[in-house]
Amino acid sequence: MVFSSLTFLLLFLPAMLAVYFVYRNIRWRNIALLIGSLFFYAWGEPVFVLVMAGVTLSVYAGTLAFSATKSAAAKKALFAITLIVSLGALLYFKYAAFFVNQILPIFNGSEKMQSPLLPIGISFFTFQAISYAVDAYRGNVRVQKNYALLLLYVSCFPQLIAGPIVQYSDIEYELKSRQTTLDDFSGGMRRFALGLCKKVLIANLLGEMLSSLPQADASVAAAWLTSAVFALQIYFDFSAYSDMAIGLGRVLGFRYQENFNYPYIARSVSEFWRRWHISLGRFFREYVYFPLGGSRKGANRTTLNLLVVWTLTGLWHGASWNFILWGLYYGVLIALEHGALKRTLRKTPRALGILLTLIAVLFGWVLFYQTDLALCANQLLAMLGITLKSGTVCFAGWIDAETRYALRAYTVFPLVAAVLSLPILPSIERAMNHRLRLQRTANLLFTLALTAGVLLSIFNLVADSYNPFLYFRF
Amino acid sequence: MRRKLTFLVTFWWVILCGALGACLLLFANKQPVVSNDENRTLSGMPGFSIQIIKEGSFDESFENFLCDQFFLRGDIVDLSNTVKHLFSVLTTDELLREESEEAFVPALIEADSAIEESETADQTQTSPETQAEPEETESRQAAAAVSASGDSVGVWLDHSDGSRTQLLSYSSEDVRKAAESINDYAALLPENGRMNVLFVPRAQTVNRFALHTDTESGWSSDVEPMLMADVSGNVTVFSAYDIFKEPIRNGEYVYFRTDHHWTARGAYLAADAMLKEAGYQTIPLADYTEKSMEGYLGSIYLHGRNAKLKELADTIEVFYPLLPAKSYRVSNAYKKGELPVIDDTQTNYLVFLGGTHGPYRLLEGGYHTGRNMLLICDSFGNSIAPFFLPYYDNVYLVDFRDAYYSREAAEAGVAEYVKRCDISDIYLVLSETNGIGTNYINRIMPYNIN
Repeated sequence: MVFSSLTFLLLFLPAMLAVYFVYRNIRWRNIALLIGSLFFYAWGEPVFVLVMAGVTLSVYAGTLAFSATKSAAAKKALFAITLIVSLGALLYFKYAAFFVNQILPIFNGSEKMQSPLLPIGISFFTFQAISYAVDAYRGNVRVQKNYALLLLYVSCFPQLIAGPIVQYSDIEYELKSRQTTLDDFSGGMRRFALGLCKKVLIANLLGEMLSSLPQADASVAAAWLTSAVFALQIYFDFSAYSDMAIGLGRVLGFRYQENFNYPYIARSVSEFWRRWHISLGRFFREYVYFPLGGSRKGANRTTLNLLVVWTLTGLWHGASWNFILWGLYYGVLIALEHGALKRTLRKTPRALGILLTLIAVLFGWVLFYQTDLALCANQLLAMLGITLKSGTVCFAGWIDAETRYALRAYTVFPLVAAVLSLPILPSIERAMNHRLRLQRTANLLFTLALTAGVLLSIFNLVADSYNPFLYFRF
Repeated sequence: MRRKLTFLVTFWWVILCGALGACLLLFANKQPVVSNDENRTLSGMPGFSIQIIKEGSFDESFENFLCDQFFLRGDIVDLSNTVKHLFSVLTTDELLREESEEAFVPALIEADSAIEESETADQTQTSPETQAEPEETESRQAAAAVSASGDSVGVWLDHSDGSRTQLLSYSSEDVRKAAESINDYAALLPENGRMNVLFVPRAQTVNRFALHTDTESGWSSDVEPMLMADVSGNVTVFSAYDIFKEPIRNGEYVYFRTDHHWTARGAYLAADAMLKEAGYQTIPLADYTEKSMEGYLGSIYLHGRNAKLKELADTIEVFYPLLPAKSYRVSNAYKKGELPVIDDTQTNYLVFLGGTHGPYRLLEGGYHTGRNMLLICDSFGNSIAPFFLPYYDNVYLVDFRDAYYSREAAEAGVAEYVKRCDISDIYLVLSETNGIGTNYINRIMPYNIN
């Protein structure tokens, strides 16, 4: 089930909240939330819910086993086994076919392995399970002896499908004791509504615009616009899900960490990644980069560590060469920023830094968006004004008719989206914080505006089902 | 106080959403229903079984049910689209040109990238000889010259300033394939039988001229002369562009604006041109009984439901057959069930023949001429077919599109039908979407001949 569906908005969420708040006892609330979360996942993935339960069980049993062991070597071995077993499902479902298909041709194998169906959210719940195992091994958190509570941490429906990746230490206490105040409820619901509006009213419409654009190498404008619209779409889509997750978490009494912080105003690529998918960056930093030695083992080792981390980050997003290249691209840029460009970056004016980062990010999104490497190369070349026509290099042309048409059809919409991707709302909020009365009135007005937004979002979800087959008709 | 109010508002979101969900489950229609606007079956409540749950398809079917059966869905779609279109600066013209589906359309060339041919004043002053109606042999010679001139032929829109823009482009290879397909059908006819061919533009193309007669002076097509050069002697290829040029200049209402079809008036003009060429003395349109229905918003409007297009709402003109006519669905050359010729219950293009019904259709107009005809067509055939009634005993129609035709339902190929139904003439009337270069003419027609 996804948040931006009528099933969730009109049936699951009201029913879930009604059942949840009927109970005052945390134990019953947890039971209600666990059953609700498993139902939420099983609604669309009835069989794969067992994979999630299995991954959690492997981590549960593994942590119990190594925590009961006194020998350091045995503990280490059991920890390693726990990690391998819990990663097994992710490796099989997401990566096995990719790696096997890379290796088979080396041994003259002609057959291809078909990718199995991918359980939704497997990358998120596996990483959460692993973060718990590592923290338990390090002694940062207490070993959870109640399987149901550990399963609730992994499967809790607000963050199950698309994150943020919640670390066990963040909600260890809240699993046992939490409460929801009126402010938590209204603040959480408003955050959820904001996310819903961002997803349905902005990201979906940007997706429509993206699909109306011609092939990205049609002209210079087409290439840049494809990248820019995709940059906005993925930001509004992904950050919307995080908003909804954080909002729902707050309604249920959980405090999830922020996952996005206006990434398109970053003045360097490193800063961009401190503002984009923060929970993933935090995971790789704490569980991969630091254990590899981080930046403490010299410049060369730091560069190597960065490249390893960013290759893994790319792979986490998908088992495909374009994602690996995308990860490496950021690895190289961040390594440069940490090394050769460090001083230059400090001296760069803020506006120029933002502009250069934005350009680097837009080139990066091409690697992410185009899963076919040839198309990827074509778009990158077109962004530089180059196109290849029957082997001859020529100018791609500034703008083509289809791109002009798409611009006219959606005109101000990408501009509105671009403005909304800047921290304007927080600035207004900060300005009003000095005047309490004004702030409260604005809060109410904002809530009323969100009411209209929720209504319009529901209408849009209904309208999206309008699908005429017109020529078929007569 | 305001904090409590904020809480109450958000609390009511949940309550109202829950109430709406409960009402949908309790009161929404749970049976699948056919939507006239969308021409698809709106989902009903999905069945519940272990198999469906295991497959994981229940969630999608259930979501479809909630969306499709939502209260006041039509109004919500209109409102949602109106809000969406606030961001658009597309002109009505551009909206009219918008494709109504992702169907095959020959390389439609946008004005911006179009081949513009500026011609000098001297060149535009064509000699009286070239303006004269050429003889058939001359036409074939001209076509051969066109054929030799390049790999593609096009349809051109002539601007008042002397330049012209290519509207459509077809490859010579596709034109040759179309000719082969046509010749195979013409070969089925008896000795005195004729085959008449007309490829019809859609409103999206026509209205680039029809709605701009102030800036556009006319149009022409190189396609028909080239096709004429390749077809058998008993085939006549008509040019819709020639047929409609003068009526459009005179402001006649030959095409809808918000629908991709021609009007009944346009269909009459096409039928009239073909019948006159065959030597018939045709009945004037004024002799038919007419009925008009205003406020029609067709397929182009329904594609995006853009409120701007409501200003261009069309009028459907219906011309009733002169004698009481009957229509039947036909399979294996036998009549199976009666259908309307003009379906008064419809308020859209389905008024003509009540829509397409396969595999074959028979119209009986009560005339005794000793000749029968077969009309191979798509939906454009539904409005032209009744105008053939006074000239043939039986008018058979076949629409080979997948939704309406199958070999199993027809129980025999066209060759067999031509023999059994004693067909004298074949008419081929197809729109751009199913015309030259499409599967319809390149594959489906050859496949269904035997």
